[in-house]
Amino acid sequence: MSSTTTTHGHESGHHHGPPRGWRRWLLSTNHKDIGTMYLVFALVMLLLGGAMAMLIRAELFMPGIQLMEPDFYNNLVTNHALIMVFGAVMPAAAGMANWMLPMMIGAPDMALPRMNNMSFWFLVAGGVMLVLSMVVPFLPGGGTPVNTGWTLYPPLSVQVGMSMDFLIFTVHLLGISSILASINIIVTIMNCRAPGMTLMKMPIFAWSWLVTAFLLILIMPALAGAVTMLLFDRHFGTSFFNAAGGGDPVLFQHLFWFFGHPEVYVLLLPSMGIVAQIIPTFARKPLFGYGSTVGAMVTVGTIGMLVWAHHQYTIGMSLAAVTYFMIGTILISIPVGLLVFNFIATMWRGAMTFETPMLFAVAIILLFTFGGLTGVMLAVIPGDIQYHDSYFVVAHFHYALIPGALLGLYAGTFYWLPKWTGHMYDERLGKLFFWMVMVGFNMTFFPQHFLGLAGMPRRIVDYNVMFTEFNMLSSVGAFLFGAAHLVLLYVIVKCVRGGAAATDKVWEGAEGLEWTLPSPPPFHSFTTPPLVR
Amino acid sequence: MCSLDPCRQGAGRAAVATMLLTGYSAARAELGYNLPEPASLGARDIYDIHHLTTTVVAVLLAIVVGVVGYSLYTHRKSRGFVADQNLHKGRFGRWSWVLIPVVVLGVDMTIAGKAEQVLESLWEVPKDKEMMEVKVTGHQWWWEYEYLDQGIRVESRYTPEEQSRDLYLREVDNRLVLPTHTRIRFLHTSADVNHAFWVPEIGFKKDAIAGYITETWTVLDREGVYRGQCAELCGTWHARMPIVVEAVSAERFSAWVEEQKLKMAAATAEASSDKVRSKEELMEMGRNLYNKNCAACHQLDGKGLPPAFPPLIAGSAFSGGESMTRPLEERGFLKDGKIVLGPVEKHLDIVINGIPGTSMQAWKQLNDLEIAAIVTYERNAFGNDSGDVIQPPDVGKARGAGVTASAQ
Amino acid sequence: MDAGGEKGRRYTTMALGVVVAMMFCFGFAIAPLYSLLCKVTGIKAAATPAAAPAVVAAPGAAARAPVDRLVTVKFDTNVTDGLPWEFRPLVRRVEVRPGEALKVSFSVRNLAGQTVVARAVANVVPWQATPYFSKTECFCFQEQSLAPGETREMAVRFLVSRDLPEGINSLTLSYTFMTRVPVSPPAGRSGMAVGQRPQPAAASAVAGNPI
Repeated sequence: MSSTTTTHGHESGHHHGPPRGWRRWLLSTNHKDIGTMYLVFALVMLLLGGAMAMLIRAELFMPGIQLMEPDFYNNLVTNHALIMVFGAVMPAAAGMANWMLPMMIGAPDMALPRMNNMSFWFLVAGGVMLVLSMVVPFLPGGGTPVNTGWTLYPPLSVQVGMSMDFLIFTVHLLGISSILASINIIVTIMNCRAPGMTLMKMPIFAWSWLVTAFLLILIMPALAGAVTMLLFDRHFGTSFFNAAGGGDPVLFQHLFWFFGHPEVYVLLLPSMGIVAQIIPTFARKPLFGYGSTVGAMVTVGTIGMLVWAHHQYTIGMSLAAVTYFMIGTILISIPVGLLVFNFIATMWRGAMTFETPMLFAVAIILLFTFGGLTGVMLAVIPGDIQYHDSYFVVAHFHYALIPGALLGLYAGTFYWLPKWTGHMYDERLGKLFFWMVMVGFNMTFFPQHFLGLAGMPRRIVDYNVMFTEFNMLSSVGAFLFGAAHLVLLYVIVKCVRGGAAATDKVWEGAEGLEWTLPSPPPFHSFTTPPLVR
Repeated sequence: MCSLDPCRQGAGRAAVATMLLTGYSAARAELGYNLPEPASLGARDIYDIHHLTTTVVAVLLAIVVGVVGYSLYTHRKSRGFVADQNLHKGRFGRWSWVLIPVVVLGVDMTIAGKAEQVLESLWEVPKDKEMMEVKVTGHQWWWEYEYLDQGIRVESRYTPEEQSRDLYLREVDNRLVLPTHTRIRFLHTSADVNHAFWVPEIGFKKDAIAGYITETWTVLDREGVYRGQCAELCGTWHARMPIVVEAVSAERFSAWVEEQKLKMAAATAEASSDKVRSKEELMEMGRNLYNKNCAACHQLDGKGLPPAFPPLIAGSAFSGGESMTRPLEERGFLKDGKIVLGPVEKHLDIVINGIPGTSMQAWKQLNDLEIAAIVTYERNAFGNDSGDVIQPPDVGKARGAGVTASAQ
Repeated sequence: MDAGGEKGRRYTTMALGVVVAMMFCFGFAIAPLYSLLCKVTGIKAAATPAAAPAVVAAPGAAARAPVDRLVTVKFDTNVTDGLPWEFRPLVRRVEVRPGEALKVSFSVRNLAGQTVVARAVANVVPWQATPYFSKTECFCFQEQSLAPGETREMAVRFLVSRDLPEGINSLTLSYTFMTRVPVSPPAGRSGMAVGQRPQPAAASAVAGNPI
């Protein structure tokens, strides 16, 4: 990293410019380029995962099996989740971290630029493996596709054909990518802040990623361990998950959810960090309760690591165990509630304007609160006995993840596109996208609460006629929601290619080091650290 | 930079909020999209706590929407509002980080307290010394119910659409009949992968895990038919594993038990008697059994699904991997790439013992009469017309011969 | 430029690498750690099948008279799909007094044309009774091998502890015979008429054959 600056020794960074050709991207050690690559990858995966969702909802539009074999459907359900979680949300959040964190803390780049490059290309390798695992069943001798859901529970996942092995390697690759990226982020934040920028003066987005990165380092290796054990049970005669050999399928569940529950906070926190940046900008006053927001994020992450078995209430745990998990899960509502309160208090008595990023931020507050509240309903075990593995859960987590993670990323995209590209995006189209999402998203998932209560289980390719009306409504909503993303794609491409010139500050209420740089910022920025008072 | 009329802004927000709130009210009113009417004490407790949490959630949501809505309307630059930079300095500003958690904690404790009560009652061990026990075993993709005290075993499979019509995926051939007002303990397990037994009206859901027994108990308090489904993804036909519980009075249940025992005794007697059966009788029985057990792979018309599942029609061409063709040739069922009707004892061997190393499983759990019927049917249907009639004692002999398959 | 400098970055990176390695090992250590935790805190685990020899009655316990109340003990048997064995209890239920040892037998028959090896896993219902139920002799302690067509009687010698709480009056001991080999899924192609029994593990269940 230091070689570039000492050899060239310039301030503005534009004299020699970025490298040309394919080397610029394959061998990049520049946080802005790597950030861009993460974001492009995430967008492609978002559209792929979204296409799968469209197929799923098309099959569920009416009762009967019209479009596909049941195992292909189960495979779509599995891959939709894996692609959205590992291919779209996490890389997009990582892309924003790459782009913004160094600029926010006044650092010239990430602490470990070459490892940064490796993190990205491992992600691509994982993506390729994932696609391969989808293709394998169509080849002779390919066996069954992965039809287990993203949770990969044995013994079913031990039965699955060769695709499962590809998927296990995918998980290893994606895990390595995330772990390395997280190490990079922590090292950057802990070591590369500009002089005068204490941890408690950092932008809140940096804090959200600091907590997220610690979570990832703790949980991804556990998932890697679990799928490795699965690989061994499948091929090397071990019995980690087989009672006949002294093992237990439930062990996998515990390991998976030990990863899986904090994972939802991994998905959530960066977006909450983005919202925490956006609301002060558009309310024109500082974030209310910066300290308690930091505390809430850390608390959410900590408690989040201790309550994983609320996904497993029906496995036959003892009363003591199940009570502990219920109380712990209910208690998470406290820091989350504080977080939401701080956002509302930031809006309160501000002077708000409603550009697209702010529209998303407000929608997130309302819709995520709703998703979090159905989460409290699910935490209560007697209730969960009815809701577990039904469409009520599907509705809950889409209300938590879409507003809580995805819409946050959309908000961040609109917020920072002008900074990244130097052009203002088309505000009218941005708002069109927003309203299409509002209608489409709610129409898709709100009816699913009732489907769950009425008794419709999840992960089923076909259902009884009594569930028809709400499934139809949900599917129509989904098609609208999907179509909205064509608008998103158009807006992004249009903005990259041109638009009204963006100023340094872009937004009237924006504060922070990143808004002191030009839009777009030079290839190397803050090569001399700024002084922070 | 906002081009949208402020009133439409607020209206848009209010619309979203209203939709959510009316949705909740609708859920609580009996639109038919709420938890179904409970049929046991446990289910009633669950129903009540569901309403408690729904109400709490609705109230909290209303508060949040109200506050946010008000703020969106009032605190806008376009209305000339000037941002209050000192909000955090007031008393509320300084103490909110304590106040809000305390309020949320209070709400949480209310819910948790009630939840804990219900939880304890659901998890408690019934103290009865004499308790009816039913073992529920999940299979891919059907349910097995065993009444441990009465010694009755029921296999419960979905009913195809032509017969079940609007109840397709909610109807089965053999229901789980249970007495009301009797404490019943369920033992849940699986014969293969994870399944889960869920009947909403009875109010329990429990995972079925191979090698382990999980338990639930219930007391059904009203008669009726209650429908549920498998609630843990278990492979291809997870969607097609319905559960139907028929709750009847204790007297009716005893009568049903007697009926079942008589049926079982009659079937066993039938199967082991030395009676010589007519071809028509065997064909009729064979056709039903073939359709139920063999047609999944060999198809209703006997054409199979090459190269995975061979046809059973003499003269049809068949080529597959060596692992398939070699055992068939050795048993005399494949010659020069065409299916041949091989010797009866080899045919019996294939059906009784299967063909190791292939998808053809052993069917030795069927009784002598059933196998005799199936083999008779296969040798005479689909145009095979061999005229062979196999009697149950022939099957018994073939079993005893312990014909082993060639090594894998 | 760096607040921590080159050294700071290297140190932080290595420390985090160690954490990653530890968390990977954590996944594998979780089972023994769990047993340790239960032993140390005395928490009774739910539904643990007693595949290993359970607590043997302490010496001198036989000298203490059994408690004078009767507890129903029922016996249940299971065989996983793919294992071609017939398995049934010879006695469906007994009444025992806590503290009184008893021996019951089960019958197992191998229906296959080859030798098959399998292992029984035991469960006690209700799970709260598990710590009070001990087996001094059990066929579930080791793998069982049956020749083609062989039928064998297998026995269990068990004891319900004198300390069995008053609230537990009915127990069920359930065994499941399973093979270590994973069961292949039933033929799942389209056109399946009804739920189908999965194919047995057949040749791969033969003793000594690796998968």
